[in-house]
Amino acid sequence: MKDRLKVWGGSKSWFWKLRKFAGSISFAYEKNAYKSRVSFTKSKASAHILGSFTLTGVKSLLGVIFFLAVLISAENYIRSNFPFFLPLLSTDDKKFNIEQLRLYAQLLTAIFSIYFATIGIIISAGYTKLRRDIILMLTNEQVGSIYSRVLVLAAMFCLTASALPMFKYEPSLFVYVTGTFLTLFSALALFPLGQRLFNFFDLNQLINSEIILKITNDIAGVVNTKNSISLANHHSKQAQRSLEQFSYINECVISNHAGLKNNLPALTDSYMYLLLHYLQMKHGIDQDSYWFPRKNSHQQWFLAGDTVTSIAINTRSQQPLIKDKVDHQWIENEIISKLTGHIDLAFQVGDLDLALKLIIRFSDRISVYTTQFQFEIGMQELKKIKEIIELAFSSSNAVTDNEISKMKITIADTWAALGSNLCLETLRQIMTFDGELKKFFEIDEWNKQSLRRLPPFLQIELDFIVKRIEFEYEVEGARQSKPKYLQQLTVQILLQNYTRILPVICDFYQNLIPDFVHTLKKQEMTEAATQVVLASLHSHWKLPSWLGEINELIERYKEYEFYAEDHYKLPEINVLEMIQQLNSASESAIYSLSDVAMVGHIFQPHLSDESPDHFGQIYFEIAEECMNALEKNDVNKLDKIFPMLMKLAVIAADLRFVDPNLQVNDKYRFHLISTVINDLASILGFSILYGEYFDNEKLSEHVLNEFESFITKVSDKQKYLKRMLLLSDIRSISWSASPRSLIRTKWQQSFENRARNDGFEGYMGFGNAKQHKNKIVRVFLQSHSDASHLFFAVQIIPQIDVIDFNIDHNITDLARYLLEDEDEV
Amino acid sequence: MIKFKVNPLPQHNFYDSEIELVDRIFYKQQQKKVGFYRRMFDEDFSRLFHHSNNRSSNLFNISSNDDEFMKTLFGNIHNRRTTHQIDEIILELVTDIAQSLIWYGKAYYLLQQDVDTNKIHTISFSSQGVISFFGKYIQWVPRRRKRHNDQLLPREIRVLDSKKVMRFDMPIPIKHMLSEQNRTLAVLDQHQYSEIKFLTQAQGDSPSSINYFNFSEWNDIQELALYRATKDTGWNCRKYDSSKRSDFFDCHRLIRFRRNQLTLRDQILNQLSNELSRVGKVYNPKFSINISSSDELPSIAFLNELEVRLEREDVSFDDIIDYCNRR
Repeated sequence: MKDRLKVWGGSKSWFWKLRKFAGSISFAYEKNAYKSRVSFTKSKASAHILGSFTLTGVKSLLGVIFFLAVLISAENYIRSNFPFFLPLLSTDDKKFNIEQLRLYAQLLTAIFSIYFATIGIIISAGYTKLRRDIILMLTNEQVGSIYSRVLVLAAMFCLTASALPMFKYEPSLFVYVTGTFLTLFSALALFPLGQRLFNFFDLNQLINSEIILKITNDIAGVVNTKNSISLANHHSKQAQRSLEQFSYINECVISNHAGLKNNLPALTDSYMYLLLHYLQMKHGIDQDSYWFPRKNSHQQWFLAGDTVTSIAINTRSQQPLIKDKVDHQWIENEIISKLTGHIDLAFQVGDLDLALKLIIRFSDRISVYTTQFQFEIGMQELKKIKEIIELAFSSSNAVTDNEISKMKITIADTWAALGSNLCLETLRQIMTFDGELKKFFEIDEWNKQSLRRLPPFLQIELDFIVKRIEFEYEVEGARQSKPKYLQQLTVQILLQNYTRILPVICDFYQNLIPDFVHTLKKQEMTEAATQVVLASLHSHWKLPSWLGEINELIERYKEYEFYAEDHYKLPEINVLEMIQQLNSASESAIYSLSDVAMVGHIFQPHLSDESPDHFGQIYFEIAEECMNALEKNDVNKLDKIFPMLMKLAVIAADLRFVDPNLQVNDKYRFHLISTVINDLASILGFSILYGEYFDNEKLSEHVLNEFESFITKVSDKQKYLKRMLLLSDIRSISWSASPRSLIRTKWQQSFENRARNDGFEGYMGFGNAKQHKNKIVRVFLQSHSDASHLFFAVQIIPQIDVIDFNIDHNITDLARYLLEDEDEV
Repeated sequence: MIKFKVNPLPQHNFYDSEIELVDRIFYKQQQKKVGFYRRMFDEDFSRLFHHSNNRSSNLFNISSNDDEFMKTLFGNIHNRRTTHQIDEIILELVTDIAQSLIWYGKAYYLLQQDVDTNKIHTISFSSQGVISFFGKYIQWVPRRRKRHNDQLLPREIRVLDSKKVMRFDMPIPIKHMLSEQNRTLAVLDQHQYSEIKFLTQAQGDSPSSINYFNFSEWNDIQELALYRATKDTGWNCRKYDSSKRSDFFDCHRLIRFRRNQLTLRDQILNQLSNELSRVGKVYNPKFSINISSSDELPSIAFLNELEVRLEREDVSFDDIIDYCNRR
């Protein structure tokens, strides 16, 4: 019945007039409420200032009162003891008091007019520089402040008091006293007034005290769900205006290049404060609110649906096909363009220090981006920063200044670190969000209020579920959609988001960083490029396991797949393939490290500890990777990276550690040289060993050739080989531990474990195991020797003409066993 | 003029008849124009059997004590489609009955014996002007013209042979449900395009006239009224594009709609068995027949089970849709 009445009413024009009337009444009510609320907040702020102002006033007044009391008591004392000194208060005196009050009034009005005149002069000086509304805001802030209001109040009071006799009314002593107090009070207000006057054109202060306050008020007004659509629209307009003023002030401030060093960070901070505040409040805003500006989007006739097209064809209008598209990111986009603009400007003026400072501020945004699942905004910003950095580096001349090049390395390194941080934090958030989602599912409440607990993107995407459930309540009187169905829809949307995020993370390591490195390399900033690669290795180590966990998570989400219909299917995310891609990215990072063109700078002596030690890290990394390649029987990789290790080892053993500038004691120097020789010999030994073990001659062929070709180039080959042999046997010099012996032991154990797992026993075996078919492997497993011993025994001993020195018995034993026939062993 | 024990006037042509004030008592004023939604609903609801190409021969369980007579009974039913399979004949008959029940609330059939060939024909006649009075059926025939020679025939009252008349009624619960829904549908149909009224034209004295009309609100009112009205019948209103409706909403409605249809179908079958048994006794005093739906047709019990399973999330949407779209 109610529905029929409504439908009937809907066809009458008075119905709509009545609605409009009711709407305008409620709007008028809301308008008044809003106005009074605004004035209340203003007066609250003023009262706050007045309170603090009064407090300081009262404090100083107490001092004055004390002083006055002393004076008065002194006067009384004088009056009582020496009455002839002071006359009694006569009518003349009263007259004088009035005169005095008049004087106060004149004084105060004079001060006030001078104050205004000063403002006028200041404004006229800078009037042409600024826009009208900004000037208005400035003067409002100045004249409307509580200080000047006190001044006006005092002036008015004294004026009226001095005018009292005109109405045949004597101002009493109290009036006089109050007038005096107020004048005093205004005298106190003069100081802050004057102080602010001197900073009249300090626009930064204007931003913090006026604009940001306004925008946050607007945000709060929109978040308040009680407010109507029109009020939200009003707030949106206000916020847009304030933002526009903000950006105008921004332009004004940055157009003056002189003060950039202080002004830019302040501006960045203001923008960032606004962004972070907004991102934390954003989920409270209704998704359909007019806070988000609309853009028209046009639907296609065949895709728009039956109802829409039938309405459209009945009225022959295009209007029903126009859909409002909501721009949910307008503030973010605006602010980010400003933030990146600041960085760009810092580069443009050539202040790398400032640019770095601004880039580092990105790290404060990361946590908010990740908890709100705003990964895309962060990545977008990072890409922009990357472009800016690349552009800045390419345009700046190749400067040989050490400081500047160091600065550039730090900037490049910071960028890569920030990117990694964003990616890893996002992955972490994906894992922790799982718990929140479970809780949400347990509560099983689906309305706008409960959705607020979820990240904003889910609120937007899940909005349709809420609308459906509301519709079910309206029509059927009960919720019909059941939890499993809703959960599947939610998980589907979540996974769709992950399918966007995860490839971007993968892409960051696979393309963005190598691309950045490539650009740096092209601009001959190899040190920066190497630093970026080396710093990214940690993420490469971390990522596969993290992605593995996420893979498990996604597998677990498949439990939510309950309805098998096509459009409810959960999206497939191939995390394993991503791990593969990341592994290959990490491989190519290693390959780039073994590229001489890229890491040329590490051959220069480097003894400073201000920047990371590239030589050492590359040496350690590549040695480890060589072993990895050997264990995986990967000839290709080994052949690619071994030459670099060889170079580094030779440089270390023959130049770097021999250099007297290296301030270590002699014993330790021997240790250093010995460890490098042992590393090289071990890897060569393992290459022989693994080559025999896997029955793959190629594994050792190229590597040994590399060594041979080096050794033939040495001027005195016999002497060099002897030095190698002698230095390798560090036990003969010292019993303290060698710097890399732990690592080499690990290599050794890894081989032995493999042999044991494959069923080949070492010297500790009980004879019931298989024998490897290769003799070298058999002999090695039976002996107590290291891989380096094997190398020396197989490759070096035969090349030495005369052995006239002590050789480690492990080597000689091994050499002998290898020569002997198997049966005699 | 009163005629006794005659055949009813089979098909009225109302354009030929001249209905006067007296006739209005017996003739309900028929709406000339059928509403948009009402028309769609009637069409959807009367489609008790979904179309299928493979003709099955055991849609109904028929048990009768005189198969020969039963075959002659069904053999000469005048249907739109000519078919010789008894199941198909019953199907057509039930569909026809359902259509006139939905539209007029009643349906009448008459057994007619051809004097020359001695064959029994079953023909339907319009329920307009038929009054049942203590088990007697009286047809009120207004003045009408003969088609070919324009001769005016006088008003008649025909008292029908009640032993040969079969009468079908709309089951009471469904009747109430439909009339409740159709009242709202009628209001909706009446105001369907009323928004066009509000499209104000710019005129000379008021180039931008104020329009208080809010289309989206108007649309919401219409939509809500439509969905609320069709709540009990479960009709989907032929709107397949609304993003507001969840699959649960759709499936529950579908089950409800189908259940109402099946109730109507079973009631018609029940009435058909009773009426056939009754009129058959004229020819064979011991004749009785019982027709009920077989397992090949969807059943109410299974729909109820599906609804419970849907509540428990124990069944997929496709299963429900498939089952409801069976014959």
